[in-house]
Amino acid sequence: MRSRDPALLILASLANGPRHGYAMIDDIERAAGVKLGPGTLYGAIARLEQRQLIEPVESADRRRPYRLTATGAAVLDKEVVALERVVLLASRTVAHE
Amino acid sequence: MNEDRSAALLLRLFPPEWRSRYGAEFRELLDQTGISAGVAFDVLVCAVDARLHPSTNMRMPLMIERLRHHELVIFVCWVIVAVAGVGFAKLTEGPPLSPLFLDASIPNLAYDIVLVGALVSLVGLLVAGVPIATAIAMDAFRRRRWGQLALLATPVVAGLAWFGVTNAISGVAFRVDDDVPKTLMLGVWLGAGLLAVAVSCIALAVAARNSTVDARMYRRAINPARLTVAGMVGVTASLTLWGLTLFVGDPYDFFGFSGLLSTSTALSWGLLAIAAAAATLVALRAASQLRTGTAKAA
Repeated sequence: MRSRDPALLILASLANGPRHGYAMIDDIERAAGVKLGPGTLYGAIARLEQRQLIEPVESADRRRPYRLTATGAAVLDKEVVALERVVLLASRTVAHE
Repeated sequence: MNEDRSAALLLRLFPPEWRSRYGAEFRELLDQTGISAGVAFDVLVCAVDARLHPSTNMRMPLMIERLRHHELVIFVCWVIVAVAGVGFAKLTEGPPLSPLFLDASIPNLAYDIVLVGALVSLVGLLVAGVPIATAIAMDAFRRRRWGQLALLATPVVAGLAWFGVTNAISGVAFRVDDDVPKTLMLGVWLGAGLLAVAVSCIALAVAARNSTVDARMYRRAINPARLTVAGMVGVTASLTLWGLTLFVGDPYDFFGFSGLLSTSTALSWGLLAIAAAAATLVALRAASQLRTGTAKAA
């Protein structure tokens, strides 16, 4: 996954608790400056759900919230570690120039 | 073109499985984001992707879908028991099987329990179903989904159509002396009634399935739905007891020909008891699977 990958952004957003589609769009835009379209968001949601990284949650609201599964949380951790390595490498390179 | 229509058109681009799984929530999201040219393009790309890469878990039912499914199953089973109950009322409306003519205490007690069970199940059904039906109708009005309203109106239209068939047949029946056409007409009348009931059930089930009514409505209906099933159990048990005690205490009337459409009493009772028992067993199974569950979301 890349840092602007919708799937990673969704996993990161759901790390703070269950969210429905509009809340995810809002959260991701505020945190990462990326505005996901509804189609992009639901395309990614469908793939993440298929891979059992996220799951829908029952709600009294019409908007259906999603949450991370245990597998999803593990995948997110792995991606965060990988991104941290990239950031560390990049910052060392920048410091040596 | 208004946004509601645009959203409906955009949803049509997706495969049916995708719409069935994500349609309602995606529509809700489109209502919130609005539909600009950029959003329409984004949705179009997603629709093409959904058609090129169909997901395998689209049919995975959610808690609310399971709850709605079980409540609809109970409703359909109630309709079957109600039809059996109407048949029982017809069977026992006159001599020799009416409580006024039948000189046997246990069948008459069973008859009274059928009435009480029917009342209990009707109360449960109304408490469970009227708020949901009202919410579906209001949701349809709000979103201008006239097809949904047409589905909700189907039982009324089907009832009126059956009333028309009843009038037409009764007009002809009085002028016919031959027994065979009379029985045939009664069969047509009964068939038309059952068809009206079946069409009404299907229409209401489709309306419920297509609606985006709050999950709370279905959760509030759980206990009334259980009460409905309890009433159905009472009706079925006492209807069965009625026939068995009649068989033991009054075999002459039991094996007579005072049944529905002048057929065998035992056969009429047997068919009614089997229909009610089968529907009640299915309803009991559905009632045992009614569960609740909630979560908070951002």
